Amino acid sequence: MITDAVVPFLKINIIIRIYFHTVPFQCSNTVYLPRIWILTLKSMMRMPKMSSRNKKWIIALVILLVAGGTMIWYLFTLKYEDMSSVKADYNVQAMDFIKTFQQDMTAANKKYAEKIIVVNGMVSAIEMADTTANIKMIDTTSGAYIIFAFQQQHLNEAKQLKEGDQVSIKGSCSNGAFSHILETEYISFKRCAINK
Amino acid sequence: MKKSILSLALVLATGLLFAQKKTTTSAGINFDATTSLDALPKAENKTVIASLDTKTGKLAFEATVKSFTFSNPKIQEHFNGKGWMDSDQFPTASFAGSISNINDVTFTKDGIYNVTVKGELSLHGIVKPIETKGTVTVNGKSIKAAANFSIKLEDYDVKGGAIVAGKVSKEPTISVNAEF
Repeated sequence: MITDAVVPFLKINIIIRIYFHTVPFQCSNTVYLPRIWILTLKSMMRMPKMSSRNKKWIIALVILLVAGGTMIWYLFTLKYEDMSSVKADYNVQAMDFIKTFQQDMTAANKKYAEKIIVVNGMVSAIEMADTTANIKMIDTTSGAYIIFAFQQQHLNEAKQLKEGDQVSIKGSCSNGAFSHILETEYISFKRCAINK
Repeated sequence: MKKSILSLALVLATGLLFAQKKTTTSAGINFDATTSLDALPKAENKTVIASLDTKTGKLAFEATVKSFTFSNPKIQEHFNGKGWMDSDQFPTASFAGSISNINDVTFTKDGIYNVTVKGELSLHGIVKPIETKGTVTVNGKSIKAAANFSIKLEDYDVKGGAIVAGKVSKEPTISVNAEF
């Protein structure tokens, strides 16, 4: 018996069924085409009155549309990988890394910006702000620092750290810059995780 | 003599305790340029540098453009690319201004204070005056500043086919929050 309470679940079920029967989906790096697409292609192959030349054109057009649609779908659903499974381009010591930026900011940015880097050093500060916990490694002589913003799924790793902990953090280096507010250099990282 | 040394020490101690310039390196800026056609162009930056002078009301922000994180890598690539933010050429965005009614905020008394912020926003190498409403929340030792406003991308020479096609808002909303 269908009661009012069941209706929303039925609606969701119908939406899911329509989605999976009309949109291609990916599983284990393989893209599966919905059955309706395959049936359409097969029926077109069987069209009796159409010349073989026209058939070929229509099939080519359908393949193009399918390829284009799949490409658009792929681009729209693209997500960043979990940082823990991304291979690092560089492995550096925090204080040496800061010095590299202080010596030549342009060259350092050219080399390291948007690269995946493992930084080894001591936690100088943990800055909590709302749901965020950023980790800082500070050069106490100059005040220059590296700041790491963690990937959502690794936020708890940052919250568990304490000042003075020796740590290895992997993340995407945004770039280094000079702060006119703090009058010192800083290097910011995004999508970080503890390097295990 | 003893009294004057004591008074001087008291003044110095008070000055240190209530330092006027507060700073943070973990302020946040959210950027939302979503439209009915596309829900992807929105990003956040959680490593923004900010300062607030509680006496003069001077307020400043510095954000690394490449630190704005999107959920989709392709959108992030476009955001930093040529014609958009050109983040290789213009790596930082900044704001320098002040809270014009700073005297309305009592930093020693808990509460939410409505403020008006005026200043200049530097984005994509272009500097434009900006004025917005915001709030300052005082809770014990914590001072939070927050504001929401929108900008016209064309004012900052940010153009692109996706803006014309309606997939990216011409006037994205920007939310700023900082805890000092």
